[in-house]
Amino acid sequence: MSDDQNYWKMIDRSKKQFDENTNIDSNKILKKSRHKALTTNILISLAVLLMIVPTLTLLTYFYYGSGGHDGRANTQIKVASDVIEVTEPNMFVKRMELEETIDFFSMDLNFDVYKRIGKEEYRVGEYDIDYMLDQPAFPNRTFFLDRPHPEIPPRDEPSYFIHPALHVPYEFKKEWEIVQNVPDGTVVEAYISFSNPIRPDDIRDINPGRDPDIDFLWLAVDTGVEKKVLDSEGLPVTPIGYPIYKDPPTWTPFDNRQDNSEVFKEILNHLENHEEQATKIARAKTLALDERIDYIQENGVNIYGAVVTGPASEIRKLQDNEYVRSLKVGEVKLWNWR
Amino acid sequence: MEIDDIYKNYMYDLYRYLFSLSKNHHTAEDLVQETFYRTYLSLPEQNITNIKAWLFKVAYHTFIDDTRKNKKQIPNEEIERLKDKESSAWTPEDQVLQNEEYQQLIEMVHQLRPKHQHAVILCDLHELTYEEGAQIMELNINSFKSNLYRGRQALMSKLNERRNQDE
Amino acid sequence: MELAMKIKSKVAGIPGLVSIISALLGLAYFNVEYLTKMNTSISPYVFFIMASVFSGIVGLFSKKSRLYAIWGLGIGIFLVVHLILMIFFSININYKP
Repeated sequence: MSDDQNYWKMIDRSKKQFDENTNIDSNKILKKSRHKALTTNILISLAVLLMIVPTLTLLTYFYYGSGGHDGRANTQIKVASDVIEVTEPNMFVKRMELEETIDFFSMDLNFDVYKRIGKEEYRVGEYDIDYMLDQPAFPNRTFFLDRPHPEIPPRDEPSYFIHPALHVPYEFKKEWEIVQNVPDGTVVEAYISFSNPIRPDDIRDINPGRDPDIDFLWLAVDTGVEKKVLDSEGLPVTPIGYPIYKDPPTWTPFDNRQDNSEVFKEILNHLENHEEQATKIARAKTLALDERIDYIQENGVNIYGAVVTGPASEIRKLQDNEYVRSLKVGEVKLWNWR
Repeated sequence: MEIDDIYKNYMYDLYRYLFSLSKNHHTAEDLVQETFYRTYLSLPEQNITNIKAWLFKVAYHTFIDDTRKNKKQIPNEEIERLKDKESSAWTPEDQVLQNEEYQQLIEMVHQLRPKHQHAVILCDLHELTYEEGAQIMELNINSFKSNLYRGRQALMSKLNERRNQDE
Repeated sequence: MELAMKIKSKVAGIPGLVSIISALLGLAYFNVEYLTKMNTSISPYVFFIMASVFSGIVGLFSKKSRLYAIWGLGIGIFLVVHLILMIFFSININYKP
């Protein structure tokens, strides 16, 4: 017998013997393995499924927490509150009270808006803005105002501030009548328009020595588009301006540390970077920021109107003021002028 | 279940193969189970044409992973395990119970160089083709063949030696 | 000898299993909490995370069910990082002192 045959015979024999002596339960092994594999599959699939929500939340928070130097969410909060401060005369947001709710790639901003009427602040409305990523939907506004501004600004027609280059509409005559008939013992918020644009520092000339005894709350800035009340594309614009606070609400950029007209310019520049979002939140269809920024750069900040507040008797005096060309009454509240 | 029947057919081959690699019955049984566990886990993703070669491949990787894991364990334990293996492999009861001849054959195979060992185990002891063997060992077919022939020659001469001694 | 080994291998699988199960419980807790916006206590959540991480580390060194230990530990670490980042971001977004 050759080595070769021997070799194979030996292997064959020993293998057979080995297998005969091997005692394994193949059914049990397969069942156990299959069972274990099934368990593993279930556990891992479960883990993957349950990871979906945490992963999405993390991505969402990462999205809103990053981008820009302050994070996307904070940027949008700033845009929303700033745009209200500069486009809604005498209206401001208390940023400390603003609440945000973040869900999967969406954010919901909720905040109240306030007006100062007389010496006191009144809550005059609520805003609810839903964001998808960093794009806001049109805000849901609720105002508790006696004389709200039109939700959609009228075309070709200034609604409360009248630029010196425009005629004062006939209805504005009635406003003086209202002022005359508002009882004493009330405080009035009034939108006054000037005969000529003046420098911000010159507004004190309107009530020298606090006569009449009124406070300036918000200044409407001449940005070139107010003459026509339309921007270069023919869309209606609303007034733009900035507030003056005696006691600034927390975290407003107009905190009196810097000249408010400078802050105003900075804000316009910042808003221009987010003009699409800012326009959605503003009532106007267009903010025409590019046009307005250019105009201000060329002509400086000139004021053509202001929101003032004071006792009814003091507001009445404005009718004979040489600076004041027209007036529109806003809100009226009970006496708080201390 | 059709696939299970196929698995059952190869169960003994796999067991023998893993025993040939590990020289330990307990390990071999564990690894057979682990092998099937892995095949069940990965089966849906793969389209297997050659089930036997694939099973052997999985079994080989299971064995490799197992030895690697054991190496990481504390050396003392490892030494003890080795002692266990040796003693369990050579206790008298085991010799009666288990197969003496195959065990001796495997001992002899394990005296070969590692690559020769594996080639012989795959081709001569478990009848895989050269291609399948080469694939499992991740060698090209020519070097696999040369490993196999050299291993086979060495093994034959060892067998002859022993037979001469016995006679 | 064989019996001892068998028992040992059975016990060796436990940390991995504990790890993945507590990781899954942690994940489930977060899911329920987040989706229902209940805002209940955070302590069970932290407990699940700790359990999955620690038993995951133990399981990593045992021979059996390493896979579960890896998953459990992986999810555990993910949840820790997740928790830290979420706290960090929620403080920073609309920061209020």
